[in-house]
Amino acid sequence: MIQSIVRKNAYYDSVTLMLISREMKSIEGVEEVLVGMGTDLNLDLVRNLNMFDANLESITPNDLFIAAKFNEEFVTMEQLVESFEEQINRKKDASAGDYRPPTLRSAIDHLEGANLVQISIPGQYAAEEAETALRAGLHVMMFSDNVSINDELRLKKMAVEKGLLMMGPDCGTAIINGVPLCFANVVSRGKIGLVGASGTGTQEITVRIDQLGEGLSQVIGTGGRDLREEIGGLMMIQGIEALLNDPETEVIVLVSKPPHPTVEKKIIDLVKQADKPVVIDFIGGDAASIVDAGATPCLSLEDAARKAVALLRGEKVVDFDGFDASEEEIEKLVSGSAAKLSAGQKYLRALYTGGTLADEAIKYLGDHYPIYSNIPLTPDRALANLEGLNGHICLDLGEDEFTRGRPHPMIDPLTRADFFKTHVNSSTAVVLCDVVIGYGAHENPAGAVAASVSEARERLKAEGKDLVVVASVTGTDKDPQGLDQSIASLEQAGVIVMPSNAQAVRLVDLIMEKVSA
Amino acid sequence: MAGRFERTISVLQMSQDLYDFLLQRDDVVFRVHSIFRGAVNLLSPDKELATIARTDLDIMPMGMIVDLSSHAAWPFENDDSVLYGGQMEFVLPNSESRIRFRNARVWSPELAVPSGEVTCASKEMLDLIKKTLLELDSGGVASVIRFIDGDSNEPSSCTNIYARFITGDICSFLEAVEGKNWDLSLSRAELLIGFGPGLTPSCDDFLAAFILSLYYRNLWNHSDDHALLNFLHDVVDLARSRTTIVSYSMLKHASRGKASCSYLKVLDALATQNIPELHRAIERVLEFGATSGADFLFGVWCIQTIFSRWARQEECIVKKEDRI
Repeated sequence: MIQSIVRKNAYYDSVTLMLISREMKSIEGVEEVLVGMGTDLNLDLVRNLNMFDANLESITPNDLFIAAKFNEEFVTMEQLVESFEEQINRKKDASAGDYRPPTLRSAIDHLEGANLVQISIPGQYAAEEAETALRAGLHVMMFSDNVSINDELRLKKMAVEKGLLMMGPDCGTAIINGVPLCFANVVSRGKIGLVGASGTGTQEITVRIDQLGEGLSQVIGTGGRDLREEIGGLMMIQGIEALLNDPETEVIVLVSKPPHPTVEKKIIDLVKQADKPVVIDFIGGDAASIVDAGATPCLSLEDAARKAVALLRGEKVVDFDGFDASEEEIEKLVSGSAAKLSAGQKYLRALYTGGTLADEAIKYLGDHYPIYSNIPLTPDRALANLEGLNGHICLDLGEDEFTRGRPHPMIDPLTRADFFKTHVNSSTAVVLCDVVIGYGAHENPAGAVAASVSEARERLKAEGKDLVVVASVTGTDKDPQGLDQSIASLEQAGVIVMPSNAQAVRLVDLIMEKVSA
Repeated sequence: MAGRFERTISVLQMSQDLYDFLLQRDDVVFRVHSIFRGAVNLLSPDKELATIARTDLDIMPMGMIVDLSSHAAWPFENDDSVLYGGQMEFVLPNSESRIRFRNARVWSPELAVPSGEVTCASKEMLDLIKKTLLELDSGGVASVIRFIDGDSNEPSSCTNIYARFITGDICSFLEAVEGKNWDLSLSRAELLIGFGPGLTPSCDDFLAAFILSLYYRNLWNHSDDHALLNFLHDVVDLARSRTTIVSYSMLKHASRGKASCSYLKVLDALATQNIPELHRAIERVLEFGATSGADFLFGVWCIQTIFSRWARQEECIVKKEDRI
């Protein structure tokens, strides 16, 4: 059946017409629908499709037509017109589902009620988009990096003035109202709120809280530069205030690298006024001011999670610097590992995809051995000062120098696979790895590590040698990749999987001590 | 006096041509022609279209921006009368409202001659436009770019029925323009005017880009090419009866070098090789309608590609003459 209707002098905006056209095409029994203005050439198209009928004879360019080819057994022209009218009347609602707005402004316009914009575009354009979002009264999460510090300061000041969050630039993770953003894990909702200036550090704490049986109210990212003097911790402070005012939050966790002293003072002053318990992990920072402020300092990311859970449950808060496994089990692992190694195997290779996890490792192990790194504890331990591969190495493979022209190693495991090939050799004793799963991460990072381990083992086998590989998985059983599956595939490749990064690092420390002895 | 009105809306910005149009008149009764969420078109008795837009839209020729948020209702109904009595305000009797433009900033809907050297668009700029269009897949005729630029030999690679139908005619038009055969170009343009989805049919947005670009190339190069200028005016004459009144107005303005702010910014960025500005202008242009912005950019890409070829040909001729 072919039929058309004409609306004299009817004007609808193009977006509405396009959406209606698409909607009508999806109705059962409809073969083709054209909705357009009655210009000669549009009518030529109608004729070409054999959809012309008498109604279109007297149409003018300023009239709207709907021409349809349909199977009467399923639908009638009256029903199509009814559908058209219905959609015209609810055009705003209809637009949200099918229409892909080409710009942020049109997206904001078409998705009424949206209150957060996630920005992941090249840095040179990101600030302008963020400003558009903030001006429209929306919170921003900016994954983009390479945004100037001046722009960051300007945007964060604007956010503070408007009472909004400006998470980022270079903000890798957040969980807002239970929705994971960018790199984030699926964790239970609960009563612990977190503000983090370090991506994988935040992820590590949230997954451990989940594993300990509690959940997160809000997880607010700030971006790595927030606690620098220039920015002044604007978003960390905004985040703390938001959590203090949030009735769902009973305990607050703060995580970042040590802030600039002036920024630290502002945060500590705010924490002193807090009417909720606050756990602070300024990774490797000074604990004294934290204690002075009445807050709880931490030894590791895992320790932060444990203390937050203890505070929430009203339990005694104690430092955790041990293992879940018994002393005997750990001793057995250490001895067994050392026994696998041959003479000449003496170096550590820590190949991290998560920057904060690498930082945690280097700060712990760096006290005991000279560790060379692209994020060294002291300038003399910079990777460039290492002769060949004769030394202990800990790398943050997510740093710019390793990601130019390729995706972040949490997304693309090839970077680490390459380092397994080039940096793991017959002098390597232990390899330490993180495996970060969850949204945004590679679909099977554990499988990729397992493959690299198998390849390295095979290579060393030819020289009559073996290898010790220790890892931890930052993730939960609710993540798309699955915690259990990830652990299983690592263990199948002979990797020792520890319950947290901190425990993996401590185990490596014990093995290295044994090897050195 | 103010008490007579239920509502007073202020005009923030007004185009120079609308300002001049009103200045020459003491008493005009406009009719509300069409109402959209973001804008309202008024039609004067002599068929001039004036556009009143909210702050989130671009200002256009014969247009004004009013201080009205996107959630506030328009004080108009279709076919309402809008009175202009020479007092720098529109009076809306049906809603007892008025729109005052006493303190409005005036905006010129034309491009000034760029201060630096006017050059052809670089390959990088053309690639940026093409990449944007390929990623967008807007639903208008812009997907013809796949066929034109040799990414595909099949018109069927175009993503919608309109684009597939018109591919051949667009190619014929491009050939005629590239050959500077303006009579042939006009007969080819006739096969495009008014075609495509939308209130300003896709091919009209495409042609607007041609008309504007040719107009400014002629102006900036001081060419005074009468055959070309006649072609531009003849296309507009053809459009009078072959497309919608909104679209006809757009083409008419284009033939006089006038266009909405973002459209002009695209041309300006191309002429001055300003890539960051081009990027911003593209973003803004894409906010026009469902397909209009993309179809305009498609036209820009085509005509700028032709300009580049003309420039290469002229360079060859100069070199040849040097040798002789």
